[in-house]
Amino acid sequence: MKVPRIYTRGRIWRRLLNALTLILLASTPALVRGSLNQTDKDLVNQFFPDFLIEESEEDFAKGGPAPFRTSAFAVADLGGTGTDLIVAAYTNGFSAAIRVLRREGTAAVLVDEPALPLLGGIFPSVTFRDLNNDGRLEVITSFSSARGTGADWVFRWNGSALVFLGPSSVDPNGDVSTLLAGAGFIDLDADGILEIVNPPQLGPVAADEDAPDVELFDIFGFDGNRYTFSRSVNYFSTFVRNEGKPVVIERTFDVASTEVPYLLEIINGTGGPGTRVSSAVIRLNGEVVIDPRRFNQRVAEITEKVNLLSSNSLTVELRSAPGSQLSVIVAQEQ
Amino acid sequence: MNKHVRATIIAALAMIGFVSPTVADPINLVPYESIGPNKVDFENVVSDPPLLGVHFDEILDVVTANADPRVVSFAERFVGQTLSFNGDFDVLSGMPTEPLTLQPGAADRNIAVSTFAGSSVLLPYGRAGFPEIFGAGEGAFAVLFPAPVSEFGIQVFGSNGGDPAFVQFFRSDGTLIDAITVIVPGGIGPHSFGFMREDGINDIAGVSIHNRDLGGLAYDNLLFDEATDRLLLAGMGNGPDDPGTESTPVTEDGMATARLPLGSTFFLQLAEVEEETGMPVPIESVFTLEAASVTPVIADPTLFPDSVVIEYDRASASEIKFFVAVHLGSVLLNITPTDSSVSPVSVEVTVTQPLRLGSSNNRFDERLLDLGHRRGIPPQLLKGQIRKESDFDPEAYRYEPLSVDLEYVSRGQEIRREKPFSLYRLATTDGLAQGEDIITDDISPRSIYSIRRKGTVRPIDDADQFVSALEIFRENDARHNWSKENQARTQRVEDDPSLLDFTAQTPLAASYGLLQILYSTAIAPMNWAGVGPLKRRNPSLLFDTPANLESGGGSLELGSGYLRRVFLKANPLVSVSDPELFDSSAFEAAFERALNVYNRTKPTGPYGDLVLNFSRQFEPIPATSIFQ
Repeated sequence: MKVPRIYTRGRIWRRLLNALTLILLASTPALVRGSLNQTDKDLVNQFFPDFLIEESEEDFAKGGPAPFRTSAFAVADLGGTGTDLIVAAYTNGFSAAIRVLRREGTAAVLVDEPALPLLGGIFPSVTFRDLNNDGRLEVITSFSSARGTGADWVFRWNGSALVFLGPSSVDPNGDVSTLLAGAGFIDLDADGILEIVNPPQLGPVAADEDAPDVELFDIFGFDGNRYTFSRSVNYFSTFVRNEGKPVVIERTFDVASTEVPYLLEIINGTGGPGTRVSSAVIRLNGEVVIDPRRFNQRVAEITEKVNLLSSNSLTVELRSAPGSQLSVIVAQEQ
Repeated sequence: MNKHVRATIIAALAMIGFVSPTVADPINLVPYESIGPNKVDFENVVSDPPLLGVHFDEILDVVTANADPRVVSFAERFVGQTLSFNGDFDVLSGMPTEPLTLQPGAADRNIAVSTFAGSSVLLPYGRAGFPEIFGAGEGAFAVLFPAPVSEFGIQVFGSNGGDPAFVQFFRSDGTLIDAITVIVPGGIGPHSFGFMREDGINDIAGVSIHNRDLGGLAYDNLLFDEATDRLLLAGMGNGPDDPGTESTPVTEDGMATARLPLGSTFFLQLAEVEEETGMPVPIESVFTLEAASVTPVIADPTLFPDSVVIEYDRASASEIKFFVAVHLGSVLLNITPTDSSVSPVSVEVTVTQPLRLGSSNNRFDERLLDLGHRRGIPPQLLKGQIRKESDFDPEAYRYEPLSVDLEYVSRGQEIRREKPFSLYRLATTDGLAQGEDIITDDISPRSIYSIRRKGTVRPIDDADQFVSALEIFRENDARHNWSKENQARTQRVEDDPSLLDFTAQTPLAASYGLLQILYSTAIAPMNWAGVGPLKRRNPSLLFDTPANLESGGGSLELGSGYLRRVFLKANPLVSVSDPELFDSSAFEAAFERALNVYNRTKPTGPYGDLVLNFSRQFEPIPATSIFQ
């Protein structure tokens, strides 16, 4: 993180520079910045978008907070061509940008910047995962919010640009935004393609920790092109057996209605070898609902009809080999 | 406007000096002679009526005696009023129905015009009926004006003295404006009474009178003022039919003033009073705001800096216009009827400090009203956000092991190493020293969390060293649900618990106070200046205690400041310097998006809607009536 810094260059010069940047972006060759002996971090900093700086300066000039800037980046061969790309996420604490850079000698070239006016947040992070099992890494960029957890933007690299892959909403004015925040990525159907689990979005609660939170989890599946809504469930959590003595992990969840029947679904493992649990005890509100006899390495899924309270306690004790895992889904019976 | 009901015993003798009441009531006494120009003297109804009168079973229309005559109607009562009897006397009770409509009495028990002391007078008949002497003057009567008026006078004859007459004043919709009991002194009379509506409001559509004078009463020389042609209506409901709607007559100079509370959504309507019914009929007009004067002047950046109110759908002419009050101050609103033959009206709209925000949790209202003005954010919305974030606990606290500590305080960007974070950090297992400026108040809040030590689960103590994020996560997640909201991070921690095996920076990776501002958000990007001459930035100074608030700490300034800034981000199409919004839904939607960005850096989600719903509990309560 950079400490807040006041930029003093003139606004006209800044606008000229922005205009130049846009011209360079729109044409080939792309914008190049860099000098001798630069690290990736230096290169990323050199490409900090001017519009983010200018936005902060304008607000500061009106009495707003002093300009702030931070960035995060990760490097990978996204295209499988043997050429590493730097994916950098930048913010001024409010607005944000994502840029893809390619090293050229000691400098770097700006090769893509997705146009996403609604991108924003405070502290960014960039991670890579092969979500759709095509052997290439997808890009997950997250930006923290004023309350911590922020939005997750999922992209794939098509060889020349980042293509937005995640579930999205589109404003009346055509601006795209991600639907994901604090999302998890897990293979629920053992096909090698990860599903996305998007948790409830009401935000952390300091006001009343005992107040019911009956918002749903949304699960998105990959349709071959992008992630689309699959279904909503009342609860989702993954449990992994670690080294050492088995531990009992307790989680809680609330439901809006106790009048309808629910299904407790156990997804055993993630499809990979040795990921399945061969022994576990699952309790719901103190009662054993699934005992160890129901598990073995051939069991991929267990479903149990259950009745729920408005607030529920789920405890899971995994007794099998370290590295094995299961996911618990609670959903209304259809 | 409140429905005032007042039973004032007024001795007519007290009126001789025509002393106006010192306290303004809905209806006040004024000199009878001051009322006019319209007069009903009954001389043109029948010529030389007998002593017991000529009885009319139906509604009696009487033309006024003045040069510009009006038609005034009389009958026993209004539709909806209940007639009962006290001996031979009529008694009226209950409320008229809408619209105010006359109801004749039974045959021979309605009204008559008779001669008294050489003049024609109104003689209502009671239960004994016409032409019984015991019925004469003992009946009730109601008068319906051609259009609502603000003044009414009447002369009473033939009183035995000391008995009451009951006068009720009604609006066009049948609602009661006021009820006054007068004691008529003894003697033939005339005994004169003058009544005027508070602030000259022209909404007296009709009056009913019944009496208990031993010998009955006759009435004559009714006076009333010029009926209003046009009214200005305003309210904070969905339209003129909603409770709380106020009206004021449009004066000859076409100027009016209206006072609305900060944060309120309100409407204004120019209407013509229909002559037959007295009901206001909207006039389609163009509403144009002139340059606003925002006072007190705002030094900080704010939303809608040039607006005191925002006019919705401003491009359209309309019979009714809705506005939202976004800053204290005043602005001139010109209302120009699309029919150019109708003269325009100008209203000075003043946005005032509300009395309070809703009727509960009013402890922080004054600060929220100040912030609402300075930020351009409806103050009730800030209060709704407090309801969501802390439920009004000024010392609410929450540590975030996954989304903050793991992500960028102790890991990720590791801001615990940088100033000012390093000044307030806890000593760590990986060798970082405790921050030199940290105090116990920064450490103690973590005691709401439990840890397991030596097989015992207990709250974290101030003296506990090197409490790990993993310990807190494992022992408290079932109650605080960090895992639920952070699926990917939880998966990572489930896969490798050692990721959380660092000293929990409970002071740095936590949110504080009413608006639950994260310490990291307060420092960067809000660049919190700190408290006192030493500019201390201890996390505990973000609690909204009275001492912190007085010295520049607390969460309110920073949280509202962040919301102000992300409003711009979330609404790229809303020009805050020249806002064009279609309706209040569009205004609310813009804030809903901003709140969602505040919560999750994306404009969708349930958070904004929830806060807006909470804010509806805290609508601004006006300190004054709209039209004064």
